[in-house]
Amino acid sequence: MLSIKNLSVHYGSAHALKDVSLDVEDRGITALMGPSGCGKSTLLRALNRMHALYDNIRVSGEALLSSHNVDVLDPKVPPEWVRSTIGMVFQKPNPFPKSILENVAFGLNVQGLLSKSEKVSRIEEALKLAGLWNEVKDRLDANALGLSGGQQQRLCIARALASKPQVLLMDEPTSALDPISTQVIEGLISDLSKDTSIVLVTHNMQQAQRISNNVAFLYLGEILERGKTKELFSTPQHQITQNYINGIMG
Amino acid sequence: MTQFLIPKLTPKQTRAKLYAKVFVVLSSFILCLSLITLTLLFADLIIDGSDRINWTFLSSFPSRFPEQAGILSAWVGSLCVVFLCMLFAIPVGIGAAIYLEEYMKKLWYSSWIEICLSNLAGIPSIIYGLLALSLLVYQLGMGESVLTAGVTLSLLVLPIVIVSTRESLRSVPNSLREAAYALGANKLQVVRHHLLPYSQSGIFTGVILSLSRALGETAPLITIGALTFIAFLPSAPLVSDFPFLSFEWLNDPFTVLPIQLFNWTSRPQAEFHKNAAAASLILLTITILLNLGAILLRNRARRKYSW
Repeated sequence: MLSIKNLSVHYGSAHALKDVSLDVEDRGITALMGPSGCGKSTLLRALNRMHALYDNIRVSGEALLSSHNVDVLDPKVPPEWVRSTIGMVFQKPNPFPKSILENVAFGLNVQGLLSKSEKVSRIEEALKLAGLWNEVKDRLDANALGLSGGQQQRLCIARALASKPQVLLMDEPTSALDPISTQVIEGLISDLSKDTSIVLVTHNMQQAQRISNNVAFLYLGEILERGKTKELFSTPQHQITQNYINGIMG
Repeated sequence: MTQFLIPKLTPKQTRAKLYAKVFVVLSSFILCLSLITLTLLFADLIIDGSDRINWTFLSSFPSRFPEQAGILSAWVGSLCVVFLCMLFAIPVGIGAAIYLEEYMKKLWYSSWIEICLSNLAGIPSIIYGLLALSLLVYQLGMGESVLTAGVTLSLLVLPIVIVSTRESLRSVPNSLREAAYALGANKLQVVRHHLLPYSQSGIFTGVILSLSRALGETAPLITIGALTFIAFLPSAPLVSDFPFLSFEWLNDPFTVLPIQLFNWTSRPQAEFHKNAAAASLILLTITILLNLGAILLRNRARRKYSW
């Protein structure tokens, strides 16, 4: 779905990501793992051009989105298009301090493609996909900040899903949530991966093991090891990967 | 029955507890002091001026007979000038703040702009008056008019609007900006649909501060030649002929309440001092009413957007 080639990211003079190449397969979950500061989030945020928002970050390399035959890192490709096509869910739930409806509608309003009735049904669809519809259908006009943390995160997922992205980037989406909300969202991510390619950054090895199909292990800005989740966890090739998996190094 | 123990705090914690109590007492004392000052001021004005406040006082022009003198031209002038001031200062100030906060790249001169802005807010208002006199009145030939006064005061309050708007833009969490960008919005859409609505309450704070400042300002208006004796009103903005709107009033001479007030207090007759007290009451009332309006709008914004 996305084939990343020679992706490098510099923060000022710091080389945060060094020539990373990785294939994100169509549908399914690709997990990015590794100790803090290894570049997982940097890699994720490069894919929807978030780095372009900041002055001192340089990104080079390419990432080919095969469904559209577009290199999403090409500066000539409008970042707005990339971000509508490759959605993102953040670590901390960040709903807009507006109504639930306005939250989900925002991405659609920005694109302005749908009529009002199409928009209403798309919003319903997105909220259903995120498993939130039954909890909020009677209070779509209520402020999103009145929802619980787990609900807010599912709202953010619905918001990202509304514009039907091909790829969904998730940056530790459960790390700010309690175990029950985490479980709900993990189930949701698995369901979504039947139709969408998901790239999931996670600290949590059990989570990667439970839901991902492929794993890439990053260390000091490079991909040390990648492969099918089962194989990587049962027979890691590197000592460092093995130490990390066994919790000797975090 | 068992006797439970009350655990003791460490000496430092005991001292800290004492300091906390002293602080509360001191703060409430200072609060009382400022409230009492305000009350006394009000009471004094009411005692001196209340019997002069009636419809004739509000609807007559100044006169050399204290009992016939009124403040019609002054309060109309004040409202016209403040209206123009806000009309210029709010959009320009908000626009400048958005540019500085969201668009401008951090360059070597950024911190200079920062320093200049904070300094501008502290410059004595008479300097703005001198600037307006040489630039607006002489160079641009705008005359001693309502328009000149409005522009002068808007220059004066611009830094207040800019600084408070920037402060509130800065307080919008970055996660909300990123959330909006991540949905495919461009910068203008992020500003329009998110940053501006979320920073409304801070912007209103700036408007409230600058309203009060503009209403009370005298020095720069005297410098640009506001008259103290005006026995007519600015021309009406609505006229009977096509196109029914007239901007003639912008060029008319004017006076404002603080100037009228100053003029009356500087006269020897005690009767005029009564007029001055009454005019002060009216000025305070107008200030409070306008601020109240802005505060209500701000509270509504706060209720709607908070995180």
